[in-house]
Amino acid sequence: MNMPFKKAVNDLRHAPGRTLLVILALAIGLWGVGGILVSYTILTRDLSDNFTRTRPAHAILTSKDFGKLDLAALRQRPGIERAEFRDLSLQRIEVHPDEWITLWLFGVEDFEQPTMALLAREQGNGVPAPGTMLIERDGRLISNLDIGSRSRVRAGKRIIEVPITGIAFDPAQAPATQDHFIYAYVDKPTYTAITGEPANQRLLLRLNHVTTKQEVEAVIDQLGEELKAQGIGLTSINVPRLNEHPHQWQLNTLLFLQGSISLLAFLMGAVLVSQLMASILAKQVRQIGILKAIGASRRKVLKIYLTMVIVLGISAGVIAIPLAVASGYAFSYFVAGKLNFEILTQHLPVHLYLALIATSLLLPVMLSLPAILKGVNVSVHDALSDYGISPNGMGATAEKVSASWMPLGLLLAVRNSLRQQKRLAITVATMALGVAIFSTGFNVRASLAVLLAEVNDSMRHDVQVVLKDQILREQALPVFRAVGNVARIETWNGGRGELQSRIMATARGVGIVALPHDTDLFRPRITTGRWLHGFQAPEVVMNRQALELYGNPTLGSSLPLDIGGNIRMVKLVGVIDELEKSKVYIDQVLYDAFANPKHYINSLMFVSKEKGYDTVMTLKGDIEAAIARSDLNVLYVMAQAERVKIIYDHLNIILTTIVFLSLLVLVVSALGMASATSISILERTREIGVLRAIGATPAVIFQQFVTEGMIVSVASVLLGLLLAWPLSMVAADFFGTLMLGEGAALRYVFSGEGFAITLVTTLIFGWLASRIPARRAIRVSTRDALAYE
Amino acid sequence: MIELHNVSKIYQGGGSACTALNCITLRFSAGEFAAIVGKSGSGKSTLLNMLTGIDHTSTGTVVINGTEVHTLNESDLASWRGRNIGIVFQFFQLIPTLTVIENILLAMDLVSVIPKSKRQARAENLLKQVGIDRHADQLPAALSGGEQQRAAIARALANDPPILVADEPTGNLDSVTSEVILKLFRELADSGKTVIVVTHDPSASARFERLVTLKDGRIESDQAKAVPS
Repeated sequence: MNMPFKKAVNDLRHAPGRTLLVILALAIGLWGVGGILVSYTILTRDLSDNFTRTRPAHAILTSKDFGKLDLAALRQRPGIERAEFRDLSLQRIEVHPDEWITLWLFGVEDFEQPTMALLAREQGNGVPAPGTMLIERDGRLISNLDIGSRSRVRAGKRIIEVPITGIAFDPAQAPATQDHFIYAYVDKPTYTAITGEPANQRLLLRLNHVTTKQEVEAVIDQLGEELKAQGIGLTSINVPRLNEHPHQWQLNTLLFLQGSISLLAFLMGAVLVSQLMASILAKQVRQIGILKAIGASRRKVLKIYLTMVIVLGISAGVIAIPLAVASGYAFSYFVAGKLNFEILTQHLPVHLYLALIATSLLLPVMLSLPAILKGVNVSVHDALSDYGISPNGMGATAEKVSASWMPLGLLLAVRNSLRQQKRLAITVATMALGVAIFSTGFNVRASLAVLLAEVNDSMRHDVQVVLKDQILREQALPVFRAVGNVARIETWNGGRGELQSRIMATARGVGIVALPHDTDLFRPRITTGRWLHGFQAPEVVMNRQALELYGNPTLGSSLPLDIGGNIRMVKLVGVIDELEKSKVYIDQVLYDAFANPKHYINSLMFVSKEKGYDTVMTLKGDIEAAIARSDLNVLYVMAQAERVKIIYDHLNIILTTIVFLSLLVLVVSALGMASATSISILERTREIGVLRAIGATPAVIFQQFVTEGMIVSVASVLLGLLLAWPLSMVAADFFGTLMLGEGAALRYVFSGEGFAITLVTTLIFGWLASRIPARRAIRVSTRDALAYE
Repeated sequence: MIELHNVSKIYQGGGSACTALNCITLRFSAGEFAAIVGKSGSGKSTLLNMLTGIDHTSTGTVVINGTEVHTLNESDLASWRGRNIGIVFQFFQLIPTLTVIENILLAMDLVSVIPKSKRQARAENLLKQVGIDRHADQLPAALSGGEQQRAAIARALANDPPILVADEPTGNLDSVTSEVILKLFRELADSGKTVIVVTHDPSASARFERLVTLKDGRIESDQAKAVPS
């Protein structure tokens, strides 16, 4: 082995603790970056691949006239890649005894040779026998349904038992665990037998050579006109976002969160490594002088120290790269589980490994290059005169710190802390950033909790029954006459039938909710304008999602609103924030005058007399029982508490990630502090010897360093909590926009619980970070400490 | 041949200037065994730094074997120094993480004047010459002060430089060990090397052929004398 290389390696072996700390810091930084790169590579590819491999529809048309359609001719049309009927009926299914949720029942045209909207066989039959069905695999997690079980499906008044003969995997659907639906697939005769609805009324289309949703819409508009000319009237056209999974937004949020927080953690790791490298090289200055004195040129000295840094990089890479791959995969599997898709990437691309290796080599070189060049450029004379920290190296600020009331030990700790002011500033800033992010994580969490509370508070009914068909109020109400614990029932109309949040829904136009303008059951957060005043003037209130859909019209503007084919001009008087799909709210009297002359209703809002969770759930059970005895064709029955849980389930993955990543940042910053304390102790080894020589006990010295660490911690907590304030506002703004729409913000909430956890955690981390190196300091004998150079 | 002509060194700092060397003119011939003596602060170590190119002159010239040392840049100086001057420091300045023999091999590796195939044998011979060959594979910390200084001398000789300079080489050693080190220097001078030693030890200075005494940055005396070998 050549001597310069041996020197580099031996220098690292000579101080194993410090070398390990650098390798650890580098490895953590690399691990963070590598983990992000790996999971980013996997997730961005795989969710999209899972989705596109199913050959999802570019457009979905419904019509009662498809009997007249020449499907073979349509398939031959230029521009049409594939066309297939896939009927859909929303029914209800019993997921646990007496617990019913919405069933999305698909009538599949051809299980044997499907051409689009493909299903993967997970277990059991891939093709259901007549009278049986397949269910989507995610549904098993929210129900007791499984292969071999006989499901109970409620279609109108009828309850039909349908055996489940297979489990399918349909990654194109929103995950059942989050949306609380069961997806089931049957052949056409079974579909008609269960639903009582004719088949071939819903057509899926895939188009050739389309790259945007607008291009799809243009083709479909033209097709619609042609079909109309053939006597086929379309009842609905749905053009979803092109090649985008319904929950792509969640993945985007997670990737953004992961990317931004991990980048911060990485930057902190980088600061930590550069500090450590600077300290190592500061201790090597005299050796650089010796090397130059015995004939080493600058290039050769540079080579020795770059070798040292590259050895560190390789060591860190050996630890970090496998960890990055493992954790990247683990995170990807976690997300895939939550979003119900498969991880398809079995082998990461070679360029990713090359990028990781290059990062592990270049990162430490880049971080330590300034310190190396500084050391290499120092003159031989200055290098040989270097004794590390100057004995008189206190800054002017440190000298000013003098207080007669302060115990000498504390005074010494304060002065020592101020001795290396640049390092102190970096350490405090790094730690403060960690504290700020950690605290922000809790504040955003609290903001989301407030949002949930607002959602809960805005809808003040206890149980909602949504009907599949509009009926007269007088037909609906008698069904529930015998149900106890009901204070009152309010009836609404105009809804689309299913209660969906924006984060669950696909783009299906605007839902219109007709409700009494003076209802006390709906109290949303009004962001601009006002709530509905009455029915004299045609006015509407929109949620932010609808506002976006209409191209952000100004408040007070008149808009054409199509209700049941009648176009009416309505004035926009207010905008509300809610976790919902696009909705327009209109007074019920006005709505009835426009489009509902028979005063039909489709929603019943129940208010219970007693409000406890169990009481409300009992009420829900009683309502279900009443429905079972009636002719009502119900889409769903949902308690408000369940609705909040659904929304919470959508946010939970993000909340968990926020807190986990914030903790990671805090750990990295605590490591930074531990390293700064270690450096400080190393530099003052001789001073420790002097202190001991003049009578300081190990306990006193130990206390000295711990006090210094706590000074840094307290300063960091104060600065960090101050920083958390604007940071939380920015974060609330970002998440608000993401979940509620452009321009919306989550309300900034100060989390007292988060404050306390941050304070305690930081102080504990700070205590540990100074305690560990301090213990090492007192293990050095007085003789060794005094002899230390 | 070492020639210093009108060499001055002025340190600036704290708004005032300190003249460490004041118009020094000196000449050392090949094979000379000379001591530079003087009290603390007289400018001995500064003069040595000028000789070795460790520090730059403020004014004046330093010419060693035809090379104008004061004109070389840092990198050229390092390379020149490795070939022409061996330096022995008061505190030995061995690389603590390399063994004794590796310290010597390092000096050879850095300068590359000794062919690779001969380096190991030369390092072993040098250690034998200074009498510490049995410590070849030990780290410097395991050696006594005298042994470390001998290792430092062996390292200084690694590239067979014509000039050897030493800064207080016995300053940290007991009298018996000091004698051994000085004897070693004498032998090296006898073998044809120019040996210049900075010392403030009067008993040590008696061993040298020439005594340059500095006082307040000036040459107070420059005496040549016959000494018993």
